[in-house]
Amino acid sequence: MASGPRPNPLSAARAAVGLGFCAALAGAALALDHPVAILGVIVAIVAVGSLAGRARLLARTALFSLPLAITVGLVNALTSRQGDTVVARLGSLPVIGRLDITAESLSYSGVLILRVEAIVLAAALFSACVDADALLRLLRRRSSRFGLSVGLAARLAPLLARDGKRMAAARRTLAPSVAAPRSAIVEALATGALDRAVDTAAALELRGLGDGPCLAPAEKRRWSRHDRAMALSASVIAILSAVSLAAGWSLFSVGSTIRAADGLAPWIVAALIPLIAVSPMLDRRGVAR
Amino acid sequence: MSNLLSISGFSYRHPEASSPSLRDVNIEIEAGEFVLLTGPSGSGKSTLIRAACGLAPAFDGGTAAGELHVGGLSARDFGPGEIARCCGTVLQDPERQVVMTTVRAELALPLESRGLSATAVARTVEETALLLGLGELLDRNVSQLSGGELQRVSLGAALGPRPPLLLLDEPVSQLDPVAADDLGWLLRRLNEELGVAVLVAEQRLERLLPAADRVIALIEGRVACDASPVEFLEWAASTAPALQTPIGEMFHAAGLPAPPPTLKAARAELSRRGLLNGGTKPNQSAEPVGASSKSGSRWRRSKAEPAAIEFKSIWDERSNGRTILEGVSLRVEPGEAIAVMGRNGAGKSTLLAHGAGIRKPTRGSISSLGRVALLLQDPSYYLVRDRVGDLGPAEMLEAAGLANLADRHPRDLSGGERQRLALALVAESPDGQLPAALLLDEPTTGLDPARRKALADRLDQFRDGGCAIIVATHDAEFAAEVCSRVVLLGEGRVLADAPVREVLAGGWHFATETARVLDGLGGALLPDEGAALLRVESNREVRQ
Repeated sequence: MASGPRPNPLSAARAAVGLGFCAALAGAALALDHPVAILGVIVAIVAVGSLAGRARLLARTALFSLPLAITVGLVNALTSRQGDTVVARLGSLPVIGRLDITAESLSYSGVLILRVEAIVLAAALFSACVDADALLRLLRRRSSRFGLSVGLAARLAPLLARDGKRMAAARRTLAPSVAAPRSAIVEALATGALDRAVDTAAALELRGLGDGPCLAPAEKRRWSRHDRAMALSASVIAILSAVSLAAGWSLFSVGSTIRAADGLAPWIVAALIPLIAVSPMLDRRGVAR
Repeated sequence: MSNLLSISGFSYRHPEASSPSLRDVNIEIEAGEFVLLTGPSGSGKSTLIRAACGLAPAFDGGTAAGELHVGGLSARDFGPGEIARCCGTVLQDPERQVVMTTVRAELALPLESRGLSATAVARTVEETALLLGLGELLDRNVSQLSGGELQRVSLGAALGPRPPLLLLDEPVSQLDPVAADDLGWLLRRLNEELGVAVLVAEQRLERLLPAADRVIALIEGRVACDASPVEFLEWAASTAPALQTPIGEMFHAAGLPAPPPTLKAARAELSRRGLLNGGTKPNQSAEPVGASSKSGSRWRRSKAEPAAIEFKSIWDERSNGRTILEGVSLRVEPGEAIAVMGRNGAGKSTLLAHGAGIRKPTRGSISSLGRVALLLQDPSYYLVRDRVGDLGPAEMLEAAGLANLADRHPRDLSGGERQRLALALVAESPDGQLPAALLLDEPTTGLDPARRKALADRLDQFRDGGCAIIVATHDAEFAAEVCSRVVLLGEGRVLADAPVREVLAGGWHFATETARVLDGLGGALLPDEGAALLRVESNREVRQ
């Protein structure tokens, strides 16, 4: 995290609740199939992130993750055997067989792209707004070494981001004839990651993490209004996703043809999820210390 | 075992190194001792600190021989995590040691790792914060802290579990003079009031020498001197002049016996000899006896002509409401060298970033006669290739005297070589044309006196070629040696812009050691100037 989020109920809630809230949103993206419902999940994440002052970070994350999402969609379109409406014939490959692209597989690729984006955004919301220190504390209670590994991974990302920024700044001060290409910076960052990881692991060891069994004291504090509200919101989102899945309210399946839930059901689900996610974020009492 | 740190016949060789970094080292540190570890760059100071806290060879690899015990734990049998129960460690780069997101969590981590109760953790975090003046920072994100603040947080994390031994590797190298003085006093207080034994590796001893019980000098990995501060100063004057403090250098050059280690005692010694009674204060003397003539610009022109680089009332206002620079105006002529000084967070690095065009001011403008080169504090950010020869054209390396390094990996170069290489990359061009202005951000961090001198000579060559120099630095001695003017920044504003002697001879924190001991007498800033002044005073005394 380059800088902290604006004080908000999600950050004020305990780490386990924050984790549960973000997991419920990611779970909804996995459980719901209808693109309109998944779009509803994305709207919910962006709205919560915006209220926490992290809209720009989420937008950047969405942009960076787009190539990954499109790759997943393309692979699905090329390898899927479902659908009767062929829109392109790309020949055949020895092991894979025929590479026919159908309108049905393309539609499902769109769903997959939305789903990947929603899950990445839920993870970004978690890393931007939930207290990583408190979560690390939770994990250390389970296993000291696991805590060390998670601490290392959590610390490494911002360190490498900072190194990359400084290398880019240094590059900008050089004359074009001596400035290394951007790819050299990426390569230097990748090769330097091991050194950084060793430094960070050394710092964690020097702080005593990983020294024998973990005995971090359990946190004993009463549930705050934000803990309760965020947990309730997460629970309702999880229940709504499960019920939608069971009742077929957000059905979108591809066989020889596309079968999608008709009527208002997917639209209602898409509208409800942002409302349920955002409602606890509107109570800003006591969010700032 | 009564010694907190016991090192016996210890040798260590880094992986793939041709020779050992530490050779047959024998050191004993008892409870409550304050020991300084000094030596030139590459002498093995940092390696010894890393070995003492268990990182070498456990993390760093390489091979070790001999015995090393910390609090009775053998480094052979126990890792850094276990040794950390007996000693707190603060390494050189604070950014690489902070592992949590907030200051409170960082201070709590070592306490929780030792299984303290929630109450004990909360109380100790609060007490540590109070001790180190971190109360206001407790809930701040560590990414928002300055280098000095991060250094204090690292010290707090090391101190929290109340270790009987504290190991520090060049803790003041990134601190401004005020913070460095504060840290010196703090370590003294920890040592005297809480009885914490302290081992500090440091190249610049002047701020910590008064607190020390012993000084250990390492040269090429061997213990060359292990003596009291007074004996060390005598040894350095006769055997290793590069390790002398500026005051020691001044006393030696003036033909006086080695000085006492504290400023107060050194001043008393000069007074006793009648050498502090005459002379003039800095504002009464334009140029002290023996001062090298350092004009502002060797290419002085009228104000109507364009400056090498000019900042015209520039503002840097961030979207979060913070204002980093407030209407800073600064004009630097071709061939002029100025120092930008001020506390950590005063806006020095930001000013240089604006000068080099990395940042755009929200108001105001910057003009220059040509290319502006910027050397960032850490030269490794420029060295992103696997081979030195791939970083720039052969002619450039040849001109910088680095052609013989072309086949080496930049990571394998010494700190001084890396800096020379980065300087060549930013400032040299294939056609041999110098930049209009060269900006350097804390260029002397981690450099020993010999390398600082080499850098000063190189910058003189740039000045001679008409290049304007702006150095953002905490190093008052370097500023006095290289620059003719000092711009003092505070809270993003120019607090003072005056000749170097006017700023550095009259101050306390922003002053050279020579000026501090002579109390600004005669405007002397550097040891040779102070020595010349003392010789004049001495002759006057004899004549009377």
